[in-house]
Formats: sequence, C-alpha cells, structure tokens
Amino acid sequence: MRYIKHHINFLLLLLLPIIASGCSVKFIADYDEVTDKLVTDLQRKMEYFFLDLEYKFGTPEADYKNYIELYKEIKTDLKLLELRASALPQNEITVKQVKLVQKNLLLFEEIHKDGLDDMIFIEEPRKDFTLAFINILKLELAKKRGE
Amino acid sequence: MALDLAELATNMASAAKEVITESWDDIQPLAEANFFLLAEGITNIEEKFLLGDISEEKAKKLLRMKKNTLEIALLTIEGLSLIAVEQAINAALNIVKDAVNSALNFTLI
Repeated sequence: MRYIKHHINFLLLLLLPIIASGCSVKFIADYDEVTDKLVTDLQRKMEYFFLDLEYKFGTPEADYKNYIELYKEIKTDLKLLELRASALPQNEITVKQVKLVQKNLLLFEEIHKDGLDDMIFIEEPRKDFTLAFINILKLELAKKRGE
Repeated sequence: MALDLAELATNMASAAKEVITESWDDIQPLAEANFFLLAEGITNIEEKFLLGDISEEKAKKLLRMKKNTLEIALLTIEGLSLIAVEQAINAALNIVKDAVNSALNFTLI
C-alpha cells in the first residue's frame, strides 16, 4: 500500500505543473473549417471525376488526354490542402494523410495514361479516394472535441 | 478537508476509463468498416488478376493505392486515439482540480 501511495504521490507531482497552470493537455491540432471545406470540395470534384469516367468508360472520351486539365486542377487543390494543413500546429497526421492522397492520385494518373481497359480501374480507385476523404473528414470533425 | 490520495487516484482512473471506453466504441466500427472495404477491394483485384483481366503492373498499382488508403485509415485511428487519450487525461486532471479546490474551500486551480 505504501508503494502504491508513493507512486500516486509521484504521479500527482508530475501532473502538478499542468494542474497548477490551469491548462489541459492537447496532442493534436484544433478543428479547421478551411480544411473541412477544402476536403469536402475535393471529395465532390473526385466523385464527379469518377462518375464522368464511368459514363464514358469504353469510349475514346475516357482517354487520359481529355482529363489533363482536371488532373492539374485536382493536384492544385491537393497542394493547397497540404499547405493549409502544414501551417497548423500539431497537424502532422492530416498532412501525412493528404500526402498519401497525392500519391494515390499519381498512381491513378499512371493507370489512366495506360488506359482504363477494365471497370475495376475506376471502381477500386473511386473507393480509395472516397474512403480517404471520409477518414480525413472524420478526424477533422473529431478535432472539434465535442464543441 | 484533506485529500484522500487513493480515492483521488481511483476517481481519476474512472474518469479516464469512461472517456477511453466511449471513444473506443466510436473508433471500433470505423476501423472495422475500413478494414472490410479494403480487404474486399484487395480480393477484387486479386480475382481480376488471376482471371487474366488485368496486367501485373496495373494490379500492383491498384494494390499500392489500397496500401496508401489503409495507411490513411490507420492515421485516422491514430488521431482519434490521441484525442481519446487527451480527453482521458483532461478528465483526470479535472478530477484533481475539483478535489484540490474543494479541499481548500477556494478556487486555487
């Protein structure tokens, strides 16, 4: 029992500076409305992109060359999101997530350049992007911490 | 009134545990849904590759995308867990704050 009390005392001693400062601890960034909006807009843009590809699947209209401008636009949006996320303190997790989405876009672009000769090249990447944006948004909204 | 350290520690632990349990109840279904969708996608890719419908090179690219998506999902779980730990510590700190203030009969913290 004395041993336990000794440890509790030690723990309280460690916590005392935090308690005395009247502060609470924070391990991750606060919610950011701009990030939320950028991710939601990107999700909408990607969804339109895949829906459009789905409609044009199997026709020359689905060729990569017809989507170069859209790729540029999405890459710019992702870069803006990365910059925004990087500017916020304790936001490394979101930054890593955005960089992984950028990697996925490059991989999908390579597949698209080679030709989308099977629906799986639209269906699976579409699920990946949807899941990625849901996860990024889920974390962003959790950063509100019940506010 | 003197502070009862054992009671204080028990109350701190209960407050923290409650927060962690509530958070895990939120995290678990999200994790399971993510893992199910990713596993399903990997199975679809494998099936198409084995049928000879897609090339090895393209199958590998699709799988790399799945790996990146899995990493994104795990990062969300890491973030949600960090928020849960943060809230558990803050709940425990609030217990100490209340106990100290009530023991002293004035607001010290």
